[in-house]
Amino acid sequence: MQSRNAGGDDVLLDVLDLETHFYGEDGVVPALGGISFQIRSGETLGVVGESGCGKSVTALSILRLLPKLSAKTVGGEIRFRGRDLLKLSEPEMRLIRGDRIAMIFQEPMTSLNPVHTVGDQIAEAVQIHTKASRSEAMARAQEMLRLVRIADPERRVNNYPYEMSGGMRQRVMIAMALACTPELLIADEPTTALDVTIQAQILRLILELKQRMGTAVMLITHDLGVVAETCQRAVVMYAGRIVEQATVRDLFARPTHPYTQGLMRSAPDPRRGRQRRLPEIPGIVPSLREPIAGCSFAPRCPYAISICHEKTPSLRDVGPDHAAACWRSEEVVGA
Amino acid sequence: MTGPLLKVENLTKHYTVGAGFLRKSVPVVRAVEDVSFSVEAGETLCVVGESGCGKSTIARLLMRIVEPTSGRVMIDGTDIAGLKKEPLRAWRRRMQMVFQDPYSSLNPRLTAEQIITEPVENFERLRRKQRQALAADLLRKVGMSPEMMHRLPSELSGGQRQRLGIARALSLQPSLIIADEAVSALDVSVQAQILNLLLDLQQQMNIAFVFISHDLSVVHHIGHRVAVMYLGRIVELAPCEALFANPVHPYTEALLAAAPVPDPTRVRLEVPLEGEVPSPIDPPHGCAFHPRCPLAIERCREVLPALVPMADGRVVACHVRAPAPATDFSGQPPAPAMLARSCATSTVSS
Amino acid sequence: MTLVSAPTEAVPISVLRTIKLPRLAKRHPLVFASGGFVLLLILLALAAPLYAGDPLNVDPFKRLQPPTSEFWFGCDNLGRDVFARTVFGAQISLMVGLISTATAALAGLLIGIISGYNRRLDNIIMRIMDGLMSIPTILLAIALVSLTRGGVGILIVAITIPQIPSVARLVRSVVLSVRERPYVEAALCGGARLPKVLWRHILPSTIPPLMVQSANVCASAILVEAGLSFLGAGVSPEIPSWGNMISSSRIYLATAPLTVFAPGICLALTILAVNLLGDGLRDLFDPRSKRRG
Repeated sequence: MQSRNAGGDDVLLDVLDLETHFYGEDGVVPALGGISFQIRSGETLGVVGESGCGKSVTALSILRLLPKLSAKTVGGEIRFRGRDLLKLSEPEMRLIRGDRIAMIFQEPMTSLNPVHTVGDQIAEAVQIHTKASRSEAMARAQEMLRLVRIADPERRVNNYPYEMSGGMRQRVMIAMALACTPELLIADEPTTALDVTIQAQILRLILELKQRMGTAVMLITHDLGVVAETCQRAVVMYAGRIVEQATVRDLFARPTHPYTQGLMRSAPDPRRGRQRRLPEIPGIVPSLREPIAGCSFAPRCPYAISICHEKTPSLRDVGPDHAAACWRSEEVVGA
Repeated sequence: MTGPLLKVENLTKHYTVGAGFLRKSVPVVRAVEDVSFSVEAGETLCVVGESGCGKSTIARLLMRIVEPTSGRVMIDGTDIAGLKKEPLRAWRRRMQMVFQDPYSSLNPRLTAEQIITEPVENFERLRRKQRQALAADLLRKVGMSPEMMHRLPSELSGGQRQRLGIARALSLQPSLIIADEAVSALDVSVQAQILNLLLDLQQQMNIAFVFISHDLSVVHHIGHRVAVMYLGRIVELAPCEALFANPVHPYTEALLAAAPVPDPTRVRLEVPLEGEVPSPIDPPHGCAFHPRCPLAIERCREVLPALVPMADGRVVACHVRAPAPATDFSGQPPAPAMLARSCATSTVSS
Repeated sequence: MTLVSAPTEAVPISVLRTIKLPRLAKRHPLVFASGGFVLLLILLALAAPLYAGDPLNVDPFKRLQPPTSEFWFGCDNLGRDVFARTVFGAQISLMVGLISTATAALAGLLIGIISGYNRRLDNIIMRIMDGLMSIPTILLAIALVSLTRGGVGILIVAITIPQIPSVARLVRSVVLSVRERPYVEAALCGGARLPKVLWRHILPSTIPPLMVQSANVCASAILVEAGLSFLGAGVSPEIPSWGNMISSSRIYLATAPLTVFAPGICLALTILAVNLLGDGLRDLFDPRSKRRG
């Protein structure tokens, strides 16, 4: 099994065998099939994977924001500073949400209320968690807007979300999320809807503020480039499971799961020449509706042998702070 | 071949917003402003830029989904911008489009077979057998099994739907396909499959592409030439390798620098571009990029830079990096250009 | 995005093709029950001559007679069979309701599509629709009936006209949103002519909301017909219709309550069923409005 305490004891969030199911009209979908990972104080953890791999479900499960009627966390533990979030009552959870764990989403427009000014919304977030008076909260809102480098914050606090550009709205979301100096910031594809030059600004901003406030960041993304540039450690997810986790340097230097390798090779890379055929991962992502025997990547995997189709591999250490869920990781890493 | 397959000259599109009666002054969005380029048979021209730069409008203008305000779109020397409905329909066979969103670009009520054979049926009647044979053939071309022809789009994955979109575009055997962010909505591994498919098709059928994208690594991968757009205008148009090896326009440079690279050992040096894209309703005077440009000089605020041809076959619109030769501009004294060059060196070195 | 449960495509009309009755009954009991009730009503009304007596036969000796085994609902103030009149009244009410609905739906569909696809005509048509909407239904009907010789035909016209604008507006809004969809643009790029685009890609999307709206129109048409007949501006008094019956028997409410309650309850039940059918159809076509359990 992987070593759970590698790299110090300052574990902020410890997720253990988290299982989340969705209940659709056609039956149960195991969106998360028992995942375990840790986030240490102040670090940036990247969560990478393609659509449907469960990376957003992980975030929503941690914050207990899953749609009530159609999804449920059915097993595992989410230890935040030693307390299991799954055992907290809803009011206790509300104290943690926004105050100690904050979240920003892909599309800032849908998570901002269109009928209130951004200043009001940040101030409200502050007032929920502190005893600040209205004017103190508004002052804090202005300060936060300055912190996320919105020009002219005195005027901008009175703006409505629609009066701002996408990049600016994402800055407001960040301001709102960080207003209570949380210990963990979960960012779900925070730059996917933005242009590259704005993306670069926003990522830089998140990293800078994280440094200043000592916040840990869980950055969910599909973009390996973003992970490489911003994260210290990363987990790679496929079909509701973690298939590999490592320090980012190690992950890119020695990808040890065939899926991670395939993902890295199939992205067009300026350093590897143009106009050539990209190595494809054959086939498509399996439907989670039907139970999968063995490793869920086996049907698409060039290394698959008979055991891969029979038994599900669990994460095994393949190096210091590097684990992969693959029966043949020794052969894979040499390739 | 004589002349390019597609030649676009001074294409311009202005939208009016909030038009209606009881409104006097109507703001104009300058979506596309004086754009010219050409595409040879079998070539891929990529158009890159950030949202609002007008690249999607170009696709819609080329397909005549929207009417140009002015300018010409010529295929094999015929201007299709001025054609009436029926003759235009005939020209549609030469030029097809692949859309960004593989979900909304397929009618959810039609089967794969109906979707991909519809364009052909607009021009000729097909018997059931013929139609099925055509559908099977098209599906095979895009790497799908012919059994899929009876499926509805909702029963297919994102990648398979995008293959359907490509099959539909191929059905009329066009010589040019316009792909508007055709792989942007797809996951990396699926994107690789689709890019491979496009490269294969280009090789087998000598199809030319106008490939519109915001993703520079994709553009670098499949482009022959690249046009970089900013606020409705082309600011640099260059052969792909030259552009990526040596960007000349400061915006191109910033764009390349901002793109994340999957290499954790790389140390990022550049400061990201500050500020945001201004509104196309009221673009800055002079060079539209000057408010964000680290090299901007006085002249950039006043005079719109023209596209100037450079030695390696590219054209660049920048007073600093590509000052216009004095003779090209009537009435423009040579002094500012020289001044610009000296300013440029001092700005860069400081 | 990354949620596993992909949202269902809104308004799948293919739903209609694949509907299986037992499945429908289980998943959408409301549609099943109310639809079944409306169908039953139509059948009963059509088959009235087979089982009900003569609704016009006057027998002074049976005035306000209470229910018997021969006259299930008793007799009215002229000694006519209330059961027979209620059943035959259903014919008039349902006929007026269905015909006006069908006409309004068709006319609205046509106007809506033209309006949604032609900017220039749109402005003119929509102003006309605004004008039509501002005329009170009852007044228009009374005016039309008093200007002409009356009759069911005029009544249907009078009820239909004010219903058209709401349908036309609905269809227009659907057309306006669907015509911007990429698959419609794709069809045009593929060289499709406008009529084909309308028929194949746009029309099918208008059908589900049109059916929902039609149910609402039908309910209100039946109500208006009853109201007009009650006021004496509808069908002529000797012809049995629910409005007529309530009107002529209302002074005998105390002595022979069934003469009012029989048509009244029928009317209420019919309207309820049609409205429920409309609500049910809306849930059926739009998965988002459905409460998930």
